[in-house]
Amino acid sequence: MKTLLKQISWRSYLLGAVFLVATTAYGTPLDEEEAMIEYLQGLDFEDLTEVEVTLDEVFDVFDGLVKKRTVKVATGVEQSTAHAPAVTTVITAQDIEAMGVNNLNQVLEMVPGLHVARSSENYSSLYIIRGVYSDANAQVLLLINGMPIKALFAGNRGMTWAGMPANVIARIEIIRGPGSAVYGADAFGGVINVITKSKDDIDGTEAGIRMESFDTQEAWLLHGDNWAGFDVAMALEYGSTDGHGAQIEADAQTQFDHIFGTQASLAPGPVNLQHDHFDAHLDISRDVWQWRADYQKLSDFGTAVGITQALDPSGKYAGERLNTDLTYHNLDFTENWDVTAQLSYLAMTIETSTPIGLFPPGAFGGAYPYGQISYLKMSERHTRLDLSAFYSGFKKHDIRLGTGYYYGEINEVVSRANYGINPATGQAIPPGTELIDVSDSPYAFIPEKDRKSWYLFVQDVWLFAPNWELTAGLRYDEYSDFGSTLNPRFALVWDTRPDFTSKFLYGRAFRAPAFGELYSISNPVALGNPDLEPEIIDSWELAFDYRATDNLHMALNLFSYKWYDAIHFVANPGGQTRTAQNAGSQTGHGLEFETRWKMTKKASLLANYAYQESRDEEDHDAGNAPQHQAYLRTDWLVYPNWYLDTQINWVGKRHRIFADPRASLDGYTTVDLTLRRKDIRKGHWNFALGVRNLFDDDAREPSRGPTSRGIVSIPNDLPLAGRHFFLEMRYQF
Amino acid sequence: MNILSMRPFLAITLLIVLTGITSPSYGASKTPREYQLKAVFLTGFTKFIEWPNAAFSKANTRITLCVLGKHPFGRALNIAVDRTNKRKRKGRRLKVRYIKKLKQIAACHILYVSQSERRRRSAVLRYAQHYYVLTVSDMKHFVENGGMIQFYTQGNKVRFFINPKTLRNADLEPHGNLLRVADIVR
Repeated sequence: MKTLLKQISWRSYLLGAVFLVATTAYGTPLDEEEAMIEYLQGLDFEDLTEVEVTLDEVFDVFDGLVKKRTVKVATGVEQSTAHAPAVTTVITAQDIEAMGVNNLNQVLEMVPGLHVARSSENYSSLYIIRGVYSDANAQVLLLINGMPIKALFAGNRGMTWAGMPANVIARIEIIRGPGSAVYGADAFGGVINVITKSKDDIDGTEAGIRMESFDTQEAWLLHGDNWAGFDVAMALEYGSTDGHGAQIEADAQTQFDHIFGTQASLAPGPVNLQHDHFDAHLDISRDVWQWRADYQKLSDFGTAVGITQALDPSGKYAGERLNTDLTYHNLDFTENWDVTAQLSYLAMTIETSTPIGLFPPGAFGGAYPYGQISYLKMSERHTRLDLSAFYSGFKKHDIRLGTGYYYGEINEVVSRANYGINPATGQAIPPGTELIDVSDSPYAFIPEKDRKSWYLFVQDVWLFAPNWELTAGLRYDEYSDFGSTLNPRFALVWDTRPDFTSKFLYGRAFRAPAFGELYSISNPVALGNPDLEPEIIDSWELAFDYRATDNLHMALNLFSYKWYDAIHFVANPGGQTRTAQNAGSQTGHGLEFETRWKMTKKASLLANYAYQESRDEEDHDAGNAPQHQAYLRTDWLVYPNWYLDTQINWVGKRHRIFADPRASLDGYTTVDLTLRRKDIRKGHWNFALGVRNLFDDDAREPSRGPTSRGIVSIPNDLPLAGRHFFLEMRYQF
Repeated sequence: MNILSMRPFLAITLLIVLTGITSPSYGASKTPREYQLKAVFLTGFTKFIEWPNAAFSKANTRITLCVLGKHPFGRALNIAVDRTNKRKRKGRRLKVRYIKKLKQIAACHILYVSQSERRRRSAVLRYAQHYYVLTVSDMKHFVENGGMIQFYTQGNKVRFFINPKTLRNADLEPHGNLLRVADIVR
């Protein structure tokens, strides 16, 4: 730790000093706002009531970019991003609309140091923060209204995670870096909290449709109003897509075909990304009570590259998710206590609607006429009660206390297969037979299990000197399966100058082992280990926030982390099987630079650059995550009511993990344009027209590295969509 | 770093920044923002309201302008207050406080209740009744619900309703000039 601190310190101070000098040399231009207020104060009241103004509610992405943004995610209390004791980003509904995106997954690339990769498992989005990469992406905690969306089975967001509609998102708050001292498990590499729209965020009715390449259609309806004293917000969305279907040149079966001289592989063939989705959202609130519910149903969900990395165009999943919470928040519970209680419930179900194929017909010398197929169904339920309170009775301290209880279970597992062992006979299932039920036997892919946990945390924000604030927090978690863990955080925030904030941050976080890692008994290459300990990360950060002018903000963050007890599936003696072990470790460091600039009244720019270098326990590059990435977004009012948004995303080269013999994966640049006609008055149509990946760059995300037999199943990686278009129409009632 | 692969990115970036900066900013007439005008109104109200002496602990106690909840003002209100204080030769100076809790209302002379406080507006008004505080908001139905001044927009202009009776109940005396420009609600 000492050497690590040393390493971060000299570099950071040097860079910090350079940054300070470079930025302060910029100077202060004339203050438009002061001039405007001076002018208005010169008028009398009668004249003031005749002044024409630009309304606050107006779609003003230029001002929005440099307006003070507040986050709640850092400590639980609302703070400006500049002062929050964490490195945070806020994405507003206005940002989302300007970018012309329709799903959460397309929004997050704008966050410095966050890259959206794809899972080899199911092509679902992986939110890779600062080089902390894994196929399940279990190291980043995604919350919807503060509630973790996390599957017990793999630690991911469910087998059919397809994001959520952007239309219901009011804002997204992101922490890069650890958050376990507040959020507990899995707030490891970062936290993403999605806050859905309430009545005030919709206020009225909006209907919209969107058409996109790849036979993608979507329709939605949003409504927000007051009914009998209750604030009500509702949203419905239905959509269907064929998916981009980019070519997978070779798959796992191709590799087996080479070995066994067969010709069974369905590659080259398209990646199967088709699905239909239905989303419903409800939010009812009154006084100190709020009830929210989100329901998602996915059907005809394609198997992407196939569950064993062998293309499977016929297999289909259906998935359902329900998350709901009842929240009581009373700012004035007593004179000095601000109290919140949240009861939440998450249910996720996945089922194969058409049996999925592990290997196609013709594999294994043609022994299986329908291929090796399987039917599975799995349901999870998660219930949480969280209580927290702020105490403001001390003059220079703001104390927060919290406690909570969690119960989660995989409550239903159904598994049928036409291969493996028949539990009724104990004999191998002969090729060519029907699907045999292996549920509730040692041959099911996961046993039905549960987990209980409770926690206690305390946090103090101490204003110990003018312009100096110390945040200290500690959280204790006790788990029924792996025991207890204690996670501290410290943050020192210094208002160096009125326009410049410096922060020094330290935090520890943990990731709870997933049930697949603990209890899997039937998968020979991924055997569970009930003795696993949680993964741990220690992070140090140095952050600077500089408001150079009202129209130009900059931020620089430097970080260093050490991740240990990383869970890997390690080959057992003989090499035929692999068992989960706390075997890995990784260290990394890097920086992020961001600037937000309102260039003119009609143009703004957001740009960021991120660098990270991460190394494994043997000092090899940790692989898969880009070392360099840069993002640029400009918004421009080209003509009254006509907005042009440009996004350029550059993702640098991705190195391979050490065991992977392939050359590094090339970087790519995508350019997205959105032209929008927006008239904010009610009773008007708004249109948007956009192109994605304008120059049709061959963008790819890394596929999984070699298997225990040294085979790279998908050698040419996971292709992303080429150039495509969309058209969107909205009507406000 | 592989600079070569970054070249297209840099080129397009440069192009866009240049277009953004050099693009003609037609219609760049100076239109104030709604929140800027409201900030000027809020500070201006102090000229037209008479507080009882009991509302101030000392002869030089400032008029405290409180903002409850998530507000739209940015720096505008602080600028308006600073400028008012600078120009003031006589009378009480102003100060701004951004507050979150009801108990903090006790120290306010003007209370701006942000939209974010809609759900607890009745509690806020009940609490404010015990003090010499002018309640202002842009929430719909604020005056009907017992508030004193409510901003509303007509076209692109900011106007306000006032209920003199609720002011007088709190021992606040509005000047005739204020009532003349306001829409009076009884």
